[in-house]
Amino acid sequence: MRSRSSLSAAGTLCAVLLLAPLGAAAQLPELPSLRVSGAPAFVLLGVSPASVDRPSSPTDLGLDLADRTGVFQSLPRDFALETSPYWLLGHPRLTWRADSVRSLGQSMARTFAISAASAQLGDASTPSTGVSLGLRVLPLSGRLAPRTMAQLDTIEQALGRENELYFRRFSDERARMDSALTAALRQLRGAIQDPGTLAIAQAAIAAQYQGLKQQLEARIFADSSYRAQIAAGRAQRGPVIPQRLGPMLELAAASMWTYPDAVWSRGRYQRAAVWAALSYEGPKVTPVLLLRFQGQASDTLPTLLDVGGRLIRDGANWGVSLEGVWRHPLTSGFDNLYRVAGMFEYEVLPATWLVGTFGRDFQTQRSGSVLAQLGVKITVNAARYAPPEH
Amino acid sequence: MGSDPRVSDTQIYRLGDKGNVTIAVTVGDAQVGETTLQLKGATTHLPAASTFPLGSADSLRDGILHTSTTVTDVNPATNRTEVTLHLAGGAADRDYTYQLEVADPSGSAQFLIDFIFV
Repeated sequence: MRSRSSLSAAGTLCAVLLLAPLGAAAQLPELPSLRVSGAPAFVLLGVSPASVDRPSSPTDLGLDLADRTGVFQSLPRDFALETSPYWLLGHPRLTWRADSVRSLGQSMARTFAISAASAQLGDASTPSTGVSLGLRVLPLSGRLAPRTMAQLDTIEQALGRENELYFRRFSDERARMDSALTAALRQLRGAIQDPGTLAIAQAAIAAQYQGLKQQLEARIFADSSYRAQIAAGRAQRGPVIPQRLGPMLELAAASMWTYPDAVWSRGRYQRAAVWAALSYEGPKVTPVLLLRFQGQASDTLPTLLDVGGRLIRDGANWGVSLEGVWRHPLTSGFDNLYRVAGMFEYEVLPATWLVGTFGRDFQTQRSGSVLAQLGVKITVNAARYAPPEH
Repeated sequence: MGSDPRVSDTQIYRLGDKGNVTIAVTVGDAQVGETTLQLKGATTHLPAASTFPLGSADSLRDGILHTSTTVTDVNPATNRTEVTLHLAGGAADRDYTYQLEVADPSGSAQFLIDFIFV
């Protein structure tokens, strides 16, 4: 796998040791924060739930909601749910090859997800329940990367070897069972003329065969040598994280309400947000355009539109990027702000990057509005700019 | 492996007087899987997205086809794995669909389905 410059991402866990921090801390949001980093409902509510309910079927979803709401009698407390309606049902005809490319409609159906969360926001004297509902969809989700397709082909071959190992175990015994089955079926055919009676007798033999087969399977799966060979094969291949390339468009929205004392009639709208991320996931150049709208019920906080973009060019151990963020308050009395910065990174040691930034912060009249930084960054996670989940 | 979810089943497939019997296996839910067949002692890897000829009705009658399909979860959207075995050329074409859920992402499931031809 070709390692990518950490510039190609935003949101990596990293440690930055700044050697010469000349610029002031930016008050504009950093570019990565303009994209919805998790389920929209959780982001808007400001919670990072330790456990998220992800029902895998309509029945699970119904039971989950009934359980959390006291059979739909109350607001759920400290609740986090994320579900994709399309994947609540099985799709027995959808192969991974068929899913490697998607039409607009297919992409929307397969990526549409609903999230909901509640949290206790007040304190003991003024208890308040926050409830948030969010939606997320990718009208464009690219195509499966050739490298991922090659990995999946390789996994298929490895699974074929597993199946072959299964058939090799106790093959003589299986052959004897087959011969006995064939002999019994032929004997029945010769002895029973009535089709109905013959079918019942054949079904009885099939059931008897299934019992013997399960005994054989139990011995195969208990066989330590067989288990060791399967485990060794799997240890070699590791997990696959499907990567998609090409145009990506992610849209998300969420709205939040608060309910003092968990009283429905006292509930009121608190805030809402809309996120959009348009990018082209390419092997070399990755342009990203991000948009975030934040509306507030508060009179003191402005309604904001943030637009950000980044153009990235990277190699195996280097990367350069240019990024900008523009903030446009939609509430009167606030000024437009913008910030532009160019960055470079060079991997001097494995996972250790020399990083440099030059640009202007949003208030050019202020001391420290020149962004000029040079430092060393140690990446913990190689994928800094996580493409949307698809 | 021993801890993989697994389904084991034996089905009776009724043949006609004539005709060539085929099998096609679909691994659904955008997961990755492979099917290996064993018929009369011969082991065959079923090519992906193909219809595989098993033989004439007469050559198959009173015999058994063993299939093993192993599926690995690679779909971040679901842990469900689903396999459909489609048999054609007998008295009627039939689909046999099985579903298993793996406990963890990247987990595997095994479908051990045999067909007795009568």
